Amino acid sequence: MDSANSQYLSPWAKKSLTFFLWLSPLFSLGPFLAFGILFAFPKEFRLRLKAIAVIAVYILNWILFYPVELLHRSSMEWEGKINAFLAQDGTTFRLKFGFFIVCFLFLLSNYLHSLFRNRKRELVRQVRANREFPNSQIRTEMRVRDSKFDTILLVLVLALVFQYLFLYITESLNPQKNLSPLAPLYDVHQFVFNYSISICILVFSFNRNKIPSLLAKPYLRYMEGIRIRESWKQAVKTEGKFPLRLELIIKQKAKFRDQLLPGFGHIYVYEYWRGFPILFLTLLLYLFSAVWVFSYISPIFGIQFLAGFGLKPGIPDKDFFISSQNIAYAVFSLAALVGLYFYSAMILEKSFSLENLGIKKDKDGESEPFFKPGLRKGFRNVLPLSLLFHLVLLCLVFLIPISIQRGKKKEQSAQKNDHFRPEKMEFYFIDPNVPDDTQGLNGGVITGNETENKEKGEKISNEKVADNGPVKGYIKKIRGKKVPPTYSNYISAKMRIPESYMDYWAKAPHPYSSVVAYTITQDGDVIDVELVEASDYPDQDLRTLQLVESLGPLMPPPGTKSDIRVTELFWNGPIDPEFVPTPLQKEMINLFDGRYMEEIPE
Amino acid sequence: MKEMGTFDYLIGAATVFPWAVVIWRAYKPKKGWQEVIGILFALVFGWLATDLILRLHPILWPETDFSPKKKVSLLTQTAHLAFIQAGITEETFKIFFIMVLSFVLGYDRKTKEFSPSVVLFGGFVAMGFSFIENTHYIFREPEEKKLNLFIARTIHSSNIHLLINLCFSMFLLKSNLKQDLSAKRLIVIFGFVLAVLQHGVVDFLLIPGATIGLWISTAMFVGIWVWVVTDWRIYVIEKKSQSNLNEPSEVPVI
Repeated sequence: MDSANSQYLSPWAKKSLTFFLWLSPLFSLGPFLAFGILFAFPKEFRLRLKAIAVIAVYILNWILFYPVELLHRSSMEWEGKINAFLAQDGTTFRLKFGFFIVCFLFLLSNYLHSLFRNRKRELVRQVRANREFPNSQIRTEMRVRDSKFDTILLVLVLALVFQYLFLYITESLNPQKNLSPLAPLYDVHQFVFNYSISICILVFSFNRNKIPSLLAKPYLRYMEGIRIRESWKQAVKTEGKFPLRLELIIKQKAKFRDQLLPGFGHIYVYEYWRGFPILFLTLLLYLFSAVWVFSYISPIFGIQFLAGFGLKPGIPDKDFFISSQNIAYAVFSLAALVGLYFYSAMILEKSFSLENLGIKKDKDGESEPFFKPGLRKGFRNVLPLSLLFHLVLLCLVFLIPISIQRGKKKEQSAQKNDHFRPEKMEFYFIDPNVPDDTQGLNGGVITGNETENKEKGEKISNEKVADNGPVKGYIKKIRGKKVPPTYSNYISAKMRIPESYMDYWAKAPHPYSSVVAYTITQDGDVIDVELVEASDYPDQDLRTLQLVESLGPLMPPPGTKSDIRVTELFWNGPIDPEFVPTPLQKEMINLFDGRYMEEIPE
Repeated sequence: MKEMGTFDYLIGAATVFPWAVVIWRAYKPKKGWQEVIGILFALVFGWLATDLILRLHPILWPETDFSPKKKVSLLTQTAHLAFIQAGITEETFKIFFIMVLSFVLGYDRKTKEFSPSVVLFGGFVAMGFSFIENTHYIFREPEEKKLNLFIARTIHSSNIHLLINLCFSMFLLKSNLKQDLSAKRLIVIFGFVLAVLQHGVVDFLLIPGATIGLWISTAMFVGIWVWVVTDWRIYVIEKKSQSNLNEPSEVPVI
């Protein structure tokens, strides 16, 4: 059963690789080392099984948690629902326990399956022994360990210990505690990941490297495909004969892989120069399609989706918002993706032509024999590489990392005075004429505070807010009304991106509060960032300033003729004036997202 | 400011030690005095390369902060940092020393062929370089972040230097297959350009700190590993197996 290529790897190399493979998630190598092992050691039967287990754990976690993260990013309504669900007492424990039960059920079904197979095997042996050696007994008992019930219990408990060990290492490496609303979900995610990896380690170790019973059939089938392919490669290299029947099996397996992901089928038959460009094109087109479809649903969702990858649009937000509402982009991306599926299948089919397989004589001299290294000639072979090159260039233009700024930084303006005049604050953000019964315009965000109307508004100071706070002048505030998506909503959504990228809330002390003022220009640049009220934590204050600086470029403020000045409270603690230290902060904590905005006179 | 001490150098050495063991054990052709001396020189040359770069850096780029932290920067600045400051400078120094060692200790002037030992020289120059670079980076980091950086430098940085230079050494061995001197030279130049590109692209993707950039660079890093493993099988093991079919052989598990 073991590989025939033991000449390649010595026992120490196998053990080192196995150890490194199990620890690869801790070393931030993701599933890539596992993929590397699949490519580098095609005949290593047991090592490949472990690599596939690591990849399966990543896929399982992705399926379980990514949709939730995506939903959380999709709208404020979902964000609120998920946060509220996670904030309930005992949610984390219940989710973890649920996964523990799922693992138990999986191991139990594996045990029952293994028991059944083992008994069947023993019966066959017994019949044979009785027939050939009538008066003797079979000495060995059950040799497959996953058919023992105590093994299940041992694996379940020991996996918990392993999980805590992984958790301890992770926390030692990253001691910062995550305080974001999604922290309970990350906690469950970490448990699920570590626990599933621990179970894989133990199941493969306790069973003397035998395949878990439930996985045996599909894995053997998969390895059969790899073995036939390797034999074919060997036969081609040595110019030996290879049965057509097996070549057709390889064709079938390549086509199946290509249907899963275009390019994968080509890679399977070592057509790297064609397979990898098609595969990368597919992945990029999936990314583009998702961005355009999500942005069409809501531009902020598109931006949030990109932020999950650490990216942002390389064009100004205003242009992005306009473009995203053009459905042609989404349709074109999806059509290109579908086209690529057909194209890849078509050239894969051509690869297995009778000329290439050596069945029919090549009259035109255009045959492309398998396992020949290098890029093949011809338009259809070069096209994917060329398309990929162009799409990568397009990516560098339209999708850029969050931390990267495009264009030169604008000089800081000298306008720093008179930055807070609340009587102007909402006229371009909230339309006061929106009827009270307007439903679901922005997910029901409650804006403003308790003041009913302009007449009953309070006096706000005309002086600099940093000195006196809002005490003079009139203010219009709207209470509890559902309003259209406002510019303030937009700033809040944009701020989530650097917050997540910088782990801002994970690093924030509790309680923490500071006030920062900044100007948003007509070009959407964020300038004149100023710390109005510092906290007792200079490191976090610096992070707050960096957070605001990394906010730009923004969409220009709508309906204004000049720049706007924003004064914003950053706080980490209860939304209660009693818990913030200064009068200004006590005032600001009740505002929507703790933010005042005003137009700076021209 | 506190000076670097023996302990700091030991920590730096620990970041490359596992890979040194792997390369030593995976290299199955006979390791004679030439190889041992070559390895010692390679480590010294790697050290020298880092030291030269550290000294030249303030002269060539006086205004750039030479720290490994993430920065908000322009796309062009990132490209400059990745391809010019890191890619070209570091690879030029390292490859220069690999070439010197390979010509002195791993080149047969009669047959005009490189011996498989050039992979040892390439690997150990990279490890000498990483040793000093890692020592500096870990020394500068605050106490509470040292462990994290130690693991990152051990797993990622030391490895990528090692793999890039092993890949270049494989190109030296590939040049043996060419008869014509200019073709040989072209292969070596191509190996150098590829090393610069590999280094540049990995850094270009890593510097901005985007998640997707980290994924692509890790995928690239593993891809280079697969390439080196496959080439090692062809140019180091099979060569050796031809001369001695009875001995078992291995591939590196870098």
